[in-house]
Amino acid sequence: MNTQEPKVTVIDDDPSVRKAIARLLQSAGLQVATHASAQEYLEQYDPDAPGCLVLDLAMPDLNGLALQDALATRGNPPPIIFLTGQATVPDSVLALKHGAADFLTKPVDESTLLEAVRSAIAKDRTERSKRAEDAEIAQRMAMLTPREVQVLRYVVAGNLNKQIASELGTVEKTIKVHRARVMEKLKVQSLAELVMLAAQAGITASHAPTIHA
Amino acid sequence: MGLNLINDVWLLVAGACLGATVIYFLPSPIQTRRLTSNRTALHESQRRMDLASEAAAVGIWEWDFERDDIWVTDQTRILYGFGPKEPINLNRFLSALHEEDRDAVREAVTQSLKDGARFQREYRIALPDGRVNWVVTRGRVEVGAEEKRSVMRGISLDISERKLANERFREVVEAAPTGMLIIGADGRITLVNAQVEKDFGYSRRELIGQPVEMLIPGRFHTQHLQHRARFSAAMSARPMAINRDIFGLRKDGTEIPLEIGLNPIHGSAGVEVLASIVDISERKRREDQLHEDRAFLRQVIDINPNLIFTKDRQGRFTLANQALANIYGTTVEGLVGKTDADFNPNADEVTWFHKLDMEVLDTLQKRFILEEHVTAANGKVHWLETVKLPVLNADGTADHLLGTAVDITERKQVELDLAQQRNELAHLSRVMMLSELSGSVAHELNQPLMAILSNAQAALRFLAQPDPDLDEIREILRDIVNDDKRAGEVIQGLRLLLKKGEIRMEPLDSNEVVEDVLKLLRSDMLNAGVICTIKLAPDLPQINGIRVQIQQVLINLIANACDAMMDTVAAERRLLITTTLDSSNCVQIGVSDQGHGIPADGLERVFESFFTTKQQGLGLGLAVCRKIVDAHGGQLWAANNAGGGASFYVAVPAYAGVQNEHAGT
Repeated sequence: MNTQEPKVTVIDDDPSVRKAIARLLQSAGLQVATHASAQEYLEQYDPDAPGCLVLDLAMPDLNGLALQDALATRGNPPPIIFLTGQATVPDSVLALKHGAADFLTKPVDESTLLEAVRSAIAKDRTERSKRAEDAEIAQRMAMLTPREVQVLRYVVAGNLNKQIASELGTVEKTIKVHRARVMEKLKVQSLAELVMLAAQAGITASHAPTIHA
Repeated sequence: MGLNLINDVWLLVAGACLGATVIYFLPSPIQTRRLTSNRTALHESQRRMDLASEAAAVGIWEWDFERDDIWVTDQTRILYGFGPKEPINLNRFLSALHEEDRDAVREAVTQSLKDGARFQREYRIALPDGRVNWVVTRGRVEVGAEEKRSVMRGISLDISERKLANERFREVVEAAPTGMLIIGADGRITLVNAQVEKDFGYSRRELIGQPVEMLIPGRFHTQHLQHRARFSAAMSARPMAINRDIFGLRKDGTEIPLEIGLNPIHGSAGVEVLASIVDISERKRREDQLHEDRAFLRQVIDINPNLIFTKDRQGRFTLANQALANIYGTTVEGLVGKTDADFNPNADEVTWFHKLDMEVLDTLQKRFILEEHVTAANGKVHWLETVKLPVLNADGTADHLLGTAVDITERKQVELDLAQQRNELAHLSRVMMLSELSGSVAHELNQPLMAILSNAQAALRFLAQPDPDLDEIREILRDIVNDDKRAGEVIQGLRLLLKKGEIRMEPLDSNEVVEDVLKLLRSDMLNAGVICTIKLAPDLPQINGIRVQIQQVLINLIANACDAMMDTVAAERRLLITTTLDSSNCVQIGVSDQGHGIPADGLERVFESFFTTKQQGLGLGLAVCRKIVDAHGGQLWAANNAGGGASFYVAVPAYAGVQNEHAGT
C-alpha cells in the first residue's frame, strides 16, 4: 500500500494563472506541484505518486488533450481536471470520452475547483487502493500449486471434500490438507472469505456431479 | 532828318557790332563835307570817318542815285573788294555781289527807290580771291534834303561770322534728331528742321511763314493762343504741357502725340521761340502697351482661381489678387499694405504663415507647403497647397516673397469623405473580424480573471487561518493588481479595436504593434496548433499610422495564415513574423505561413473585394487591408514561398517627423 500524500499537479503555461491556482489549492491544505508545460510534467512523471492533474487545455507545443493521450498509453493515468478559457463542445466531448475527471471553464470558482480536485483525489485513491488490493490477491494466488487451485475451484463451487476427493480420485483427507493449505496461503479464515477472494481474483468455480450419499 | 540818319547809323553800328556798351560818334560824311571848307578839317573828318568805319568794321556809303555815283569809305572798299580809287556805281556794286543774290538785291534797291522805303538786306559778296563774305546793308533814301540832292545812305556790315555761326546753328538744328521749330513773335514759323518735315509730313517751304497753329489740331487753337500769350508775357525755358497730352496735326490730317520744350530766343528780330518737338508716338505706344500689358496681367492674376500675392518682411501684402481678396472679404486694393492679421481671425494660422514667410526670406529657399489652411473672413476654412519663394534683390538678399496657393478645399473634402468611408469600412471589417476572434478574446480575458478569482479566494482562506502569512497575502494582492491591469489592457485593446471615429495618425513602433497583436491572437494560434516564430529587427524607425488599423491588417494576415495551415501536418504549422527596414526606408512586416500557398493568378486577386477561398468569409478582409495600407502611403502584397506556403508583406514609409504639415491640422 502506497503511503504518499496525494498531490495536485497544476499545468498551465500562463504563470499567473498557474500560481494563483496553486495558491488556492494550497490554502485548502492540498499538496501542489506546478509545471509550465506538458513536456516538463512528462519528464518527471511518477505513476506511483497519488493525486490528480489540473490541466490547461490550450498550451503551446503539447496541449492538454495530447498529454491526456500520452498518459493513457502509459496506463493508469491520474484523474485529469481540464481547465479552458474557451470551452468548445468538441474539445470537451473528446476530453470526457478519454476519461477526463472534469472539464471546467475559466474563471472557476473555488468551490467548484476544490470539489472537483477532492473528488478526483478520492477517485485516484480508490483506484490506487483497488489496484493495490488486486495486486495483493494476485500475489497470494500465485503461491497456490496447480492442485490447490483445482481444489479451490471445487471448494468455491460449494462441493464437499468427499465430492472433491472423488472427482480428483483421491481420499477425503488429502483434500482436507489441500483446503487448509489454500486457506493458509490466501490468508482467509472462513469459507465465505475464501469465496469472496476467489471471486475477486477471478477464479471460476468447478462443479462436481452431485453425489447422493 | 539828318539827325535822324545820324542817329540811325549810330544806332545801327552800335547795335550790329558792339551791342549797347560802346557808342561811337559817327558824323555824316556829307554833313562833314558841307560843314567845312577847310581841307585839313575835311581830311581830318574823312580820316576819322575811315577810322571809325574801320574800327567798327562798318562800311559807310552814300549813293547819289541821280548821278549813279557811290561814295564809300575804305572799309566799304575792303568789304566789297573794290579797288582803292575805283569809282563805284550801282552796276559795279551789284557785280561785287554773289550772283545768286544779285537780282534780289537789285530788285530791293529798285523797290526802295520807288516807294522810299528803308532798305535792309543780307547778301553775299564774291570777293576776287574767291572768298564769300556775308554783309548786311541798311540804307534809306533822302530826297532833296541837303544841297537839293537825292541820295541813299547807309552802311554795310560784315556778318560772315554771324552768318557762319548761324549756318552752324542751322546745321545743328537741321541735324538734330528732335524736331525744331522757331516761331517769331508774330506766331509765324521762321525755321523748321528736317525732323519736323518728317514728323509732320510738310516740306519746310510749306511751313515757313505760316502761323504755328497750322501744326496744331483745330480743337486746341484757342487754348494754344492763350498759352502762347502767357508764354510771351513770362518767358522762360520750360517744357510744354506738363501733365497734359499734346498733339500735333500732320499734313495728312492725322495726329501725333508730342512732347515740346520751349526756349525764348532774344534776337534782332525780337523774341522768337525755339520749340523742340519730340514725336512720342512710339514711346506712347510703348507706354500704352505697357499699360495694357499690366492691365492684362492684372486681369490674368485676378481671374486666376489660385491665390497670388507678394509680401514684405513685415508680412504686408504688396500685391494680391482677387482670389485672395475674396477669401479675406476685401478688395485687391484693400489688401495692399495690410497683413494676414488684419483679416484672419485664426491667430495660429497668422503665426504659421509669418513663420514660414520669414523662413523663405531668411533661407532664400523656395518652400512647398503640401497642406495648410486659412480661415476666411466668413469663418470658412480653406485648404491650400502653397508655394512660397523669395524675390531676390540685385545683391542676392530678399525683402519680398512671392506666394501662390491652390485652393484644395474640395479635393481635401473628397479626401476626408473617402477617408471617412474607408475608416467606416475598416471599422465594420474589424467588428466582423473580432466576432471571429471572440473566442480568443474571451480566453485572453479569462486568464487574468481566473488568476484574480483564485488569488482572492486563496487570500480569504489564508486569512481565515489562525496565523495567516501576511507576506504571502501581500504578494497575492500584488498579483491581483497586476492581473487586473492585464485584464484592463485586454479590454482597452478591444475597445480601441471596436472604437469608431477619432482616428488619428501617430508615430508607431512596428515591433510593439506586432507584439500587441500576437498577445491577442495567442490562443487562436494555440488552438490552431500553429507555432509562431518572430524575428523583429531592433532599432526600427517609427511609422506614422493609425494603430488600430495597422493592428487590423496584421490580425487579418495572421488569421489568414493560420487558416491556410489547417491542412498542414501539425509539426509543419509554422508561422514566421518578421520586421525589417527595406532599402527604400520603409518598415516592412512579413507574415509567412507553411500553408497551401496561393495560385499564381490569385496573388493580386486576393486583394479584390469578395474574393475568398474560405467557406465562411465575406472576402472583404484583404481588400480592406489594402485600402488601409494605401491610406498609409504603403504597400501590401503577397508572394508564394520557395519552400511552400505564402507570405504577405506590409511596407509603410518610415516616419520622418513633422514635415510641411500645418501644426494646427
